[in-house]
Amino acid sequence: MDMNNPAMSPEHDEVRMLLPWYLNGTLSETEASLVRAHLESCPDCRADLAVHEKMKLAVSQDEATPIVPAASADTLLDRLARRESEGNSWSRHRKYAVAASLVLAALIAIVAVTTDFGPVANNQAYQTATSAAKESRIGYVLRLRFEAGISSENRNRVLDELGGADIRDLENEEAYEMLIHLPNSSLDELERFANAAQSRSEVKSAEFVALHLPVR
Amino acid sequence: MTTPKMSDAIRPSNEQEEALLRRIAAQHRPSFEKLFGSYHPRIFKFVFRLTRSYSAADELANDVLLTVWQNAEQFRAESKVSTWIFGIAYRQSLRYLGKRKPDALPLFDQDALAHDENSDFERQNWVQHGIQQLPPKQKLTVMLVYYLGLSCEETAVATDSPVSTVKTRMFHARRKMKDYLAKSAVPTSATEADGHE
Repeated sequence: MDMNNPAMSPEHDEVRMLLPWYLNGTLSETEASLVRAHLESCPDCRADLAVHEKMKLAVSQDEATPIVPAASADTLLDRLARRESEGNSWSRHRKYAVAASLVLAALIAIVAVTTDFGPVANNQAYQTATSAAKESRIGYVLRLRFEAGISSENRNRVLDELGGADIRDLENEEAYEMLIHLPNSSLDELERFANAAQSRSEVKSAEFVALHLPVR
Repeated sequence: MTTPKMSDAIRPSNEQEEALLRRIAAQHRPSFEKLFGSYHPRIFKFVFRLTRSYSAADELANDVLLTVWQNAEQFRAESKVSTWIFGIAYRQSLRYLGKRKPDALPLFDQDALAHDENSDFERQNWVQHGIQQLPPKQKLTVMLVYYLGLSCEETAVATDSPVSTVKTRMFHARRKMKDYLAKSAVPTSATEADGHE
């Protein structure tokens, strides 16, 4: 090892790594002295320092920063409060969404009844609302999507446990639909039912998508 | 050798900021307003230099300060308040930069620039552009060290990295910058022009 070559000296690597903080003035006096002394004899480290100086200058003289936007803590916290209240009202929004979809579904169901879609297979009876008519009570269509790879045994168990009727396999959409009867249920109850179904480990999603009205 | 910092004289001391943060942890809005006034411009400028996007910087600066408001009780006084806050800015900026594709190179005509290689202004532009091309962690570390003037240990805390990693990032940033400037025909020093390294 050529000890006369500063680049081969024991402190060379250490000094190289300390250059940025030598430049920003945050080294201890001991470290700064070490760097200063080494720089005097090491052209390689002086070259490195020159690049660091350019970077520091570029960063500190960067005039590209536009005028800082007017902002206030109050505005920010108010925005946060709004966001949180929107979060809390998510369930409320969801209720409206359920309600809207139920109203829409009701219209569809009425149309379905009045236009008579014709005979359907037993396992799809709810689709025409005629089976609901026979039962003379309101039913809700719950659409379920299962997690990938679930066994048919587990899937059937969940479908059974949810207590739905007229289970239908929507193969194209990889979903199941079933008619759920929740007498005199409020939107809160519907939402709780869907949430409980969705909280099962086998279930990816559960949502009410339509309403069945009894035929008058 | 000291780094000039903006409005040091009017900035609260670290002890005062710790007291502010304790009150913010108790959701004391006036304390947050005070901290906000002191930090918002600095954070905005810091993230703008990283993102070069006014709207992204505005959103990031607000997100950083909201995180401070929501997590003030997690501050353990193991570092300065400013290091803790800029650590949050570092992580949020890193997430933003990680999602963004690197800028296309070059932003302007390299040949035209080569004719003005002795212009300080043009040279600085190249260096600034070169900094924008650094990998996100290196770019952020350069900003923490040269824009905010953090010490090596503070940089390590802010980036949640070992001191050795921080040193290595700056080392690689310097090396990449040197290569970049060499390609752009900007002399980095008389020594290098003589063929050293």
